[in-house]
Amino acid sequence: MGTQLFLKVGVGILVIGVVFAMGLVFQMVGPIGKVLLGYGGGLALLGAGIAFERKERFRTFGRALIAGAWGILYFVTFAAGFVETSRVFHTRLGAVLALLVAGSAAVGYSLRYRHEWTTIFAFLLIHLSLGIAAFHLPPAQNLTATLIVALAIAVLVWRRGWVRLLGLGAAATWASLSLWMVPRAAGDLSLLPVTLLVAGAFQAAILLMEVEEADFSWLGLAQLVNFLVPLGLCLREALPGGNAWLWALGFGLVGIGCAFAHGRSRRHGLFLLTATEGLAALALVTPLRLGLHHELTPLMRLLGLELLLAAGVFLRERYFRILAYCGFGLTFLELMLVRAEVQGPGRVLLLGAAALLFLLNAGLLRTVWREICESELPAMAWSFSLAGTLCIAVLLGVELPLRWLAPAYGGLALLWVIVALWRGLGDVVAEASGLATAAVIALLILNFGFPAPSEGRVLSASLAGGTLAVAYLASRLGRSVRLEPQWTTFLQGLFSLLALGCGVLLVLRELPAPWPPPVLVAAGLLVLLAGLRLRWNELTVEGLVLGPVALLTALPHLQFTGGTTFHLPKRAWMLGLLAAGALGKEMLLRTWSHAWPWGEAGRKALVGAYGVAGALLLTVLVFLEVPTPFVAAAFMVLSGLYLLWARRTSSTLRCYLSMTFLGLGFLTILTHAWGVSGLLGIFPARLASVSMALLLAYGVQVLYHRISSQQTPLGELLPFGTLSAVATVTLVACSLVLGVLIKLEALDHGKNLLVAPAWALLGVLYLERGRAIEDKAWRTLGHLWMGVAFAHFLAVNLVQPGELGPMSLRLATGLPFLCLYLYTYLTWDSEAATPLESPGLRWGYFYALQLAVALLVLYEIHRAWVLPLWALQGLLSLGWGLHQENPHWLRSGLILAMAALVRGLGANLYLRDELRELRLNWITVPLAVLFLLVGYVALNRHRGADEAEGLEGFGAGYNRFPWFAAQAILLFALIWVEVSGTELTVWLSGFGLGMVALGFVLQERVARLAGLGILSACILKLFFYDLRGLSGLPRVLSFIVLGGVLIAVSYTYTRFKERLEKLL
Amino acid sequence: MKAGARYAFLACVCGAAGLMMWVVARRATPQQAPTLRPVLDRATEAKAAVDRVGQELVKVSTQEEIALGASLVERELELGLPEPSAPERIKGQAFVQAVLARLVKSGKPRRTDLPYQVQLIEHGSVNAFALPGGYLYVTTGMLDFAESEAELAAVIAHEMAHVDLRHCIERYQYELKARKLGGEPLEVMMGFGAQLMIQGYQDEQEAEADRWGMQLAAQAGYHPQAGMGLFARLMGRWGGDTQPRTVPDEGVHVLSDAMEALFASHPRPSLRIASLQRALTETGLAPERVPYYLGRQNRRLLMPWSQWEFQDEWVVTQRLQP
Repeated sequence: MGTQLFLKVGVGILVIGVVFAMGLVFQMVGPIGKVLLGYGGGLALLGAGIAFERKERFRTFGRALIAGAWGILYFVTFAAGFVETSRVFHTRLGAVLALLVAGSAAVGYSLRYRHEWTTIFAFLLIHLSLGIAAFHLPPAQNLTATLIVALAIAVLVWRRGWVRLLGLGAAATWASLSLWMVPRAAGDLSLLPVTLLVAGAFQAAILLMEVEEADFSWLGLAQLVNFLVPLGLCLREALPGGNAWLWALGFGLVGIGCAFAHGRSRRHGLFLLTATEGLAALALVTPLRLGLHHELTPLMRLLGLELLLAAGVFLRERYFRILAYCGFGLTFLELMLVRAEVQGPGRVLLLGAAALLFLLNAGLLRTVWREICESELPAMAWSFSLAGTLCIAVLLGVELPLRWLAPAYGGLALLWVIVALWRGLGDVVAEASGLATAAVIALLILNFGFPAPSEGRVLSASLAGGTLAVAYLASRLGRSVRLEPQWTTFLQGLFSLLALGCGVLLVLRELPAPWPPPVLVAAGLLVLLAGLRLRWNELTVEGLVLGPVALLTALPHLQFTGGTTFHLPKRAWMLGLLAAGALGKEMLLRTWSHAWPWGEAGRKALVGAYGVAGALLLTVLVFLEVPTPFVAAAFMVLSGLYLLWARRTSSTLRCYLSMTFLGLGFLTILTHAWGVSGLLGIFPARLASVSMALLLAYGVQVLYHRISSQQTPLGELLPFGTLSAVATVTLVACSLVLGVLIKLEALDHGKNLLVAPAWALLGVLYLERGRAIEDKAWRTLGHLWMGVAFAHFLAVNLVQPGELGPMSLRLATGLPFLCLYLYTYLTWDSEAATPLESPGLRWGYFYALQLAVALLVLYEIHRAWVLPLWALQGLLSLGWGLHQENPHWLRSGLILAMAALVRGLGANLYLRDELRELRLNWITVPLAVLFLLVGYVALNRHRGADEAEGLEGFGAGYNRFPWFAAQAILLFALIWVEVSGTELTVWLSGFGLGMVALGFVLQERVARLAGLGILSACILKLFFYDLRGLSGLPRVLSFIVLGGVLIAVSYTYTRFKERLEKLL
Repeated sequence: MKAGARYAFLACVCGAAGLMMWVVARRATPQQAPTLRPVLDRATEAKAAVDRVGQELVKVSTQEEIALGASLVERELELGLPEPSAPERIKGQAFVQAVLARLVKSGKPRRTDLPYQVQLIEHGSVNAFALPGGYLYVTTGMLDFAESEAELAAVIAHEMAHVDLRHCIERYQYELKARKLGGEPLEVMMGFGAQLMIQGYQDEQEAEADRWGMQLAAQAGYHPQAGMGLFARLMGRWGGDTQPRTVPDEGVHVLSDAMEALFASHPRPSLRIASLQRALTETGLAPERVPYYLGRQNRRLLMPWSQWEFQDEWVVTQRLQP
């Protein structure tokens, strides 16, 4: 492997040296030299290509070389004229002519092959030259060159039948011409003869060529480009003179003529393409002649499209019909977006005519043209019908007074419903639905909305609602066998809803203040009753919906400061009325259960919904009527009562509502109880309020816990474990609230530093309680509080400034905290532990204690001494771990050793602290190294045990190498930082020798290898230090020599491999 | 452990904890907002350990550093660094140079081979900065803000410490090495990487420069607590730390403090004062026993201590009042 590596690295370095050398040579050559080098290279490549082409085996390879050679020659010519660093031609004319000559030479050379793609490639070079020439040659010369190239292509195409050259050549020619003409000012008609000549030449070639079926796409490309680009260029030049429409007409007629010629030649695709182009040109005639904004322009277009559609039908040409559909669509968009806004008599004519045409086409498609247009029938008939309806709707909208729009739309919807029922047309139902919806929206906005309700709104709403109701009754009573059932259902549902909506609107907006909610409640009951009685399901649904609507209409009138806008003595009255309405619905649904048309589950859901509504009203009552400090407690009481009620009636809904009240209780502790201040009796208000709520919550928790542990029907109805889960969650919530209460009180009194010991105390008490009643939830919470307390200790107490007598505040609050942790660690009873408490959790406390001690050392002790103290802590842990054979102590020792290493590298080595003129680093770092070395030696004595090796040993803390590496790295870094210059090499060499010696004494291979590595690094340092100032030729030589040496070494090793291996 | 012994142990522990908490609760203690710094600082230390290995590998010589500093100074001059021209400002220029001269001569900087020089620039902001090679700059705003020569010495010594501890050149070392190895693109990439690497312990460097600057100034005879007084006044000017009063405020404070620890270029003045207070104890400078020179009158008259010594400016103080 080494020989291969040496060889590869050596070759790589040698190549880099050669590249540097070539770079140096190229820097010394001028422009002429570079061009000559380029031409020389190109010609050499051309010669090689020709030579290879003569041999059968290398023909393809030779042609590739020839193509590359011509490319190089062309681009060298380009560089000679246009690239600054290699410019030889100093006039633009000369440079462009040279390019054209190079391109022409390429074309001439290509013809000897009679190969189409080769010639295309050469012509592309010519067109590239023309593109460049467009910016540098006079117009006459440029046009002449273009014309010649175009004629050459046309002749070549006609003679050889090269259809690809025709397609690509036409595209390239028109691109060149456009590139030249477009930047010029428009209106120069003298340019058009050349344009027409080029177009005529290509068109003649297109018409005269005989091609195979497979090549029609190339011919199509040529036809497409050769019609559209000249048309665009001619229109551009003719537009300023106002005769552009004549050009469009001429091009359109020529296009139609060419289409017929293609048709006679049985080129169907080309026929369609050319006819489309001709039609497009003809479509431009009217706008160009009359202007885009003339009133007759869209009408003329509609007539033209109607003719095209008729032609498509009579010629049975689907393509023409699709074109017509697209045209109709675009014209419809124009009518809606642009024309509908322009006032005047023409608008009525236009929209009316368009509506008639659209509806006529819908009718024709559904009747006379049905068989011919079968493929596009449903979609297009519906589209025409919809477009006609929309035109009428817009016409009504823009011409009628706004306040009568709603009844007008309602009447139209009624008419459409009758037509739909008569003919059985589903799409017309959809349109009627749209019209009815628009009628209601118009009613809302125009009659009752902004800026103020209009006059005659009652009549308008009554008419609209009446027509919609009549339409609904017509759909209910006039049975249509032709209309599909789902459309009938939709029609009945929507129209009954909209008619009822009109009635609700009248009630809400026209009745005085106290009456709308009671009227709606009564109406809801009546409609529900009617629906159930007649079995008209839509009425049942609407009756149910009216209940919540009544509630919603009442809510805005309830003032939260007390009283109502109604003249009722208390708002509790109104809430009671609404609750009674909810209960009435619930009763009705229970009584008429046999008339319920849908599944039983739905009825039960509704019964539940009205039960929930009652609970909601109770919630509102509590919020509005109970004093703030007692709100949370009231919810806790409600929760308990609902739970007892649920157990008595075995109602799961009541039980869930009890849970909800419990949640609300906790929520209101946050929103209401936290905020109270002052005194409540003799107690602080917040403390009393929260404590009262917590006490009741603990009571509810006990209730849940007991019910969950008993065999009750309620427990069987609920999902398994729900009640016990609620009991647990309640306990957690109580605990959380208590902890947060401690935190808030501490914050208020500026004693944030007491939170960690207080939480730890809370944790210990929870643990003890859990141990006493053998409840894992209590113990889990205890552990959690201990954990959170630790985090708080890290975040607050560790950085706490200030002192308390002889000790710092951090120590004063940290020591109680540590004592509580120590108690938990020492009194751990594995037998009494719950399944959650794995033995690892105990060691979590151990690691936390270790971490806390290390951090207290960090923040309490002089910063320079942290390193040796951490190393010492690690060593002591290691020693105790070895004594006890405990992997946790070993592992913590290892972690502390690694922390000491990071501390040394990241901080200590760069400290400038001194102790009596002596740098502290010379004391602290060697001390830490000594501790780590002792740890390493201690572990080294255990070598031989299976667990001491490998990754497993590392995880268990038995591995000695981290200790070795830590002390070695620290010592190395100390030398590196403190010593410099040549002394560094000496010190490091000594260090390396020491490592080797240590490796021999302790029989440690890694130490010997590390020592040898450091010695090698010392040698490399010398080498690179001496060579780093080299540049230019010496650098090239150094690379070449180094590469050569490496290759030589590789060769030597390969040559004398056996002898060398004996020496190593 | 038996139940009785355990309960006794529990009672002792809880009693001791409760007693200690009661004692602490009765005393007036400063309110400490929560912070993630104990954790973030350890991560920063690990990152610094990696970076410092890299810095050692790309270390440049003093000559290269001086050359880089000179080129940066030229660039600053091209940008039009405003030099003072009023007579009072020219006197101020001489004043700051005299302070620097005393610091270089008596402050015992580690790097004695650097040609330290200081320039007063006309700018109203209270600021000072240093470039590699020992080029220091002090704004006229800072000169006006300092109330004693010792305060000005603390500022200049802080900037000098940045150079002395190689902080200035460490910001450029990766880029210089990258330019040598791979030209400008690699230099740009390496500059970005170096910025990412150094992000998060810039304030560590500031604290280190505060500490070493205080030692330099004290060794030159200036009062070591002058810098704290300056920071205290700056804190008053910019607004002191606000303590969160609610749990959400604490959350916001923890996040903003963590962001500051990661991205701020300088630590807050309150943290700098606390850090200097600890350094004062650890270095044993003992201003409560040993007299140091303050130089309020020298600053007022813009007459450096080296020219005129006022005997009443030697002070022994427990706590310096700004």
